[in-house]
Amino acid sequence: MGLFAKLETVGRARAAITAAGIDPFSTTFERLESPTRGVMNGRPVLLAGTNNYLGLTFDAGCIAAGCRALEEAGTGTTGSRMANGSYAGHRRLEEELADFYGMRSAIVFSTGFLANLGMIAALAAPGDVTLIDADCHASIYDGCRLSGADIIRFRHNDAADLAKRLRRLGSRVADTLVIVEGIYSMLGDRAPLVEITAATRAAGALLMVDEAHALGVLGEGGRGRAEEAGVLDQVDFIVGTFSKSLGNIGGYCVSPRPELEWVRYASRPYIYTASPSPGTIAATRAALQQLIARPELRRRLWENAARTYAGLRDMGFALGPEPGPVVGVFLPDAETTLGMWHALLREGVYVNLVLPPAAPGGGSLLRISLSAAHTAAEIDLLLAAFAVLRERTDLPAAFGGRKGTGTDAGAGGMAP
Amino acid sequence: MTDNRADLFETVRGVLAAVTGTREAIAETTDLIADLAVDSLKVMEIVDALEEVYDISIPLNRLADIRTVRELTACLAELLGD
Repeated sequence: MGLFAKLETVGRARAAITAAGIDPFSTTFERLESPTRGVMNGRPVLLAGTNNYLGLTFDAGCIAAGCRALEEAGTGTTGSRMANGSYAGHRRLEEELADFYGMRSAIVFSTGFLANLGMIAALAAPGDVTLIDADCHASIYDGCRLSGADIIRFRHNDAADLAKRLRRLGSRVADTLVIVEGIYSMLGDRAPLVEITAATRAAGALLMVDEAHALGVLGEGGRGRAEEAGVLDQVDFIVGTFSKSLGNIGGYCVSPRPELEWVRYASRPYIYTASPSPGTIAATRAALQQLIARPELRRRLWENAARTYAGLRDMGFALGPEPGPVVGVFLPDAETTLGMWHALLREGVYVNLVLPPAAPGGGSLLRISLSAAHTAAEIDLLLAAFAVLRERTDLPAAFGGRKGTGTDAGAGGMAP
Repeated sequence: MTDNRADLFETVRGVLAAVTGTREAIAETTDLIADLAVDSLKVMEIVDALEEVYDISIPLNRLADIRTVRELTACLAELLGD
């Protein structure tokens, strides 16, 4: 036995997966040439699995802002904000985020994962209840565990099941935090936020929405799913990340509630970690201004998403339930999925490989994420690569139709 | 409304038999994993069924330490306020 025994299973699985010579979960790009082009193993690849939704990673203004901050404030903050103090940039970014959402205040965290850990663990405690969508991200599950509160799941995107579970809580509902995501990361499906907000408010619980994949992607002003659904003023906490549409790293929470300011003093993932570096903060601030000033990026992203979804659907692939910047392609088993991932790479296309237990319902899928920076020719290339594979791969009938398996797959839930 | 322990055990036994399809005798000491080969998907089926029967939610964190039918029954009894 010993500590390493539990890792042996992981080691065996890794050996099987890397038999073809490339570890799909440890890929390295020798060079990045643009938001959509990189070099892997000496060969150019089209990047279609980066969450770089607005394509801002190479934006000249963002790079210049980051460089200036590096020159002016140095490479790192070398400690936490509580111990070492905040930099002006941290405060400015928090003010800008609060303004952007029209909310009272914001807290910046060092990553999106830490934003969820830090918020949930500060808000909930043993004896409280966290009531979460079954398909929530691992950081939400881990935040709930860290809080020590009871963790109850409701069926993915099922507001009626949420309402039922809120009712079952009785008086405990006053100590309950409901957590959902705006867009779910694996299948790109949106939360029915009008219904979820109504159920949560009617019961008297608090609502947190993770807009990690929806910031800059949904809503008239790019504020996310809550804005799109018209419920921005009814959400208690919005968390999100700088690492996707803003092309940087970091996380945040905005809230209309004055209590948010107390979280800073109660959140260990905020207190006991180094704050984001000056370059990161400056580049994030510049990216947020780009997100606000350039709605055409959102339009281009959605054009690319719609074309990709329709193209793959017409080829007969089984996809997630709705078109979006994330397109999940369901495949019958891990072996087929791994084979197709390798074949796509040979065709010069990089997407994400998702094997159990990371995908909803315990299935396997190839996950594509689109970018505003993808050109029409690059979408052609992406679709052509899938078309080649469709010809070569003998998929069973269940995976050849237009059957929307997303919701069904999610209903079974997952426990990361 | 809550069942007493004996009724709870009978209900749990019925749900376990239905989900696992086992013909073995299910006792209080029966181990869910070792004896009934319950995997994570079956756990969720069992939980779903018991939640519907008793109109409760069983928190995920309460499931972590449950190994036997007796422990599952005790967990239900606690949630039902017995």
